[in-house]
Amino acid sequence: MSPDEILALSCTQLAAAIRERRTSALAAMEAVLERARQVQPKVNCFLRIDESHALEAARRADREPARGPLHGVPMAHKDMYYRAGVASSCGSRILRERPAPTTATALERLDAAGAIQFGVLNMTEFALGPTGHNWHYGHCRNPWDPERITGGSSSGTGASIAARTNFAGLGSDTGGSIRLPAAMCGTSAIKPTYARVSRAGAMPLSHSLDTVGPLTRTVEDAALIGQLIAGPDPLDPTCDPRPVPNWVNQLENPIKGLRLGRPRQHFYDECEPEVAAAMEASLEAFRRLGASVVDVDVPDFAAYNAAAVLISTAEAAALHREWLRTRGGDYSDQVRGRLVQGLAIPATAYIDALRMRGAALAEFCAQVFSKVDLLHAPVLGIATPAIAETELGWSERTAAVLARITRLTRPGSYLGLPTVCANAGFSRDGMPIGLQLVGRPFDEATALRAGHAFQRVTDWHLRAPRL
Amino acid sequence: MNPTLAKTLIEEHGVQPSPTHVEAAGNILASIFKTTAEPFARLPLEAEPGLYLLEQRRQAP
Repeated sequence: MSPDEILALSCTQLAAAIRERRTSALAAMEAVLERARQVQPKVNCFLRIDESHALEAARRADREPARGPLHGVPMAHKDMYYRAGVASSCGSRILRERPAPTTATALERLDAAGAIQFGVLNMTEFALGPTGHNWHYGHCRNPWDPERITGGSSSGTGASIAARTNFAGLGSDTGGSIRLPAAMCGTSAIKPTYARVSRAGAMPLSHSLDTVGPLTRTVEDAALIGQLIAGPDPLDPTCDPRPVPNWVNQLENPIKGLRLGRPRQHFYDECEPEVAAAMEASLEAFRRLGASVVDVDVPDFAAYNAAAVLISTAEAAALHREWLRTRGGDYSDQVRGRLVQGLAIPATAYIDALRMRGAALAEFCAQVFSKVDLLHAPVLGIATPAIAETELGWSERTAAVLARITRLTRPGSYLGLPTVCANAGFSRDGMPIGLQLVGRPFDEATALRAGHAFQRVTDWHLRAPRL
Repeated sequence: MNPTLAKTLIEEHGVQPSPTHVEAAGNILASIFKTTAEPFARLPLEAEPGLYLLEQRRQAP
């Protein structure tokens, strides 16, 4: 297979090609490394590439029997997944040289499946911001238009996969950080149910909301990688103990009879017409597959979003207080401003935001999941912003700009619901438009099945940017 | 939240905020408190954070 043919494959396809000796782990690694040399100057998605280590690991993989379903597949991850003894910058100046104290459970599980990590990816400083900007290492740029943002905080993961210099990678999501770069870069992704995937060894931002998940070329890959990293972990006391179903085996089950909810409120209130049109076209594809579309009322999300901000900001401020005191100048202005705000949140407000969460989940499920199996909605209702218009220090105006970006993702974080993302088309100016399929708690399987069925009858996910 | 109060609370942590950050914190938190005042006021005595995990399990398929 030629390097271009290799780079066009999904993880699932590449793993099969390596297994069947149609290509090799070394050829795949050489292809991504060469591609990285081409795209890095334009996209700035990598923070580090471990070339010699990666090539040696690929050669070793070709000599060894297959270790698992990702044997020999190159991957790079958001630079906040620890590997013991290796520095994880977390997109920050503060941690750029600190050796990580442990190895992330998610990385150990991907290692065990045979994946080969070849580098670490750009991200928003300490994962605090939805644009993907990084003032320490340079902003990551959207492969579909380098003047636009990638979405964040998993900016490098989204950009590297879209640019075909990575087959899949871990992101993390506290308010939209997996879903936004997936939508803006045109990739697939899954944000699993809160507590489905261990957070052990992943940089914490807000322990009540942080969720680990992959961005991928296809929903099929999201199912495979999601199922590999999910499940109980004694190292994460919040991780849910239930076993993980085989999501991949359920992908081909037909979706005939599935009920998709189209929200009457909130999601389309400030929506660009071409985003709404892409959503309607995707719903038509689902109808042709035998699903039904039901209009549903959703609760008022304003309070959910405000409560989510209270939780994430207060928890992040507690984690960063000492550095804010002693190393305040080492943060970018936007991140420092957001963190500082958390120091002024009264404990009662933070606790009330947590106390409301159970009732909010009950309210949402009663309104939505009593009528439908999945909620279908856009990830981002507005056009992908330009880097220049979001290059802002922290102010009330900045908060308003960022809130418009996270408006459709923050409710899912507060409720902790599993969400599958897929590209649903392009705007007139060539930017991807992402859809989200939101399921009931721990029902990743239904959202993955629907997303996979959508990709069986559309080709949006196969398109690649010209770089 | 009154920006002066926000400044005092932040400084209580030993952090020196910039005037811009103080003003932003005061105004943003004031807006959040306004939005959440009514729903928080409606929370029953028994509502506690752990109920979220219970609800999550109850709603699972």
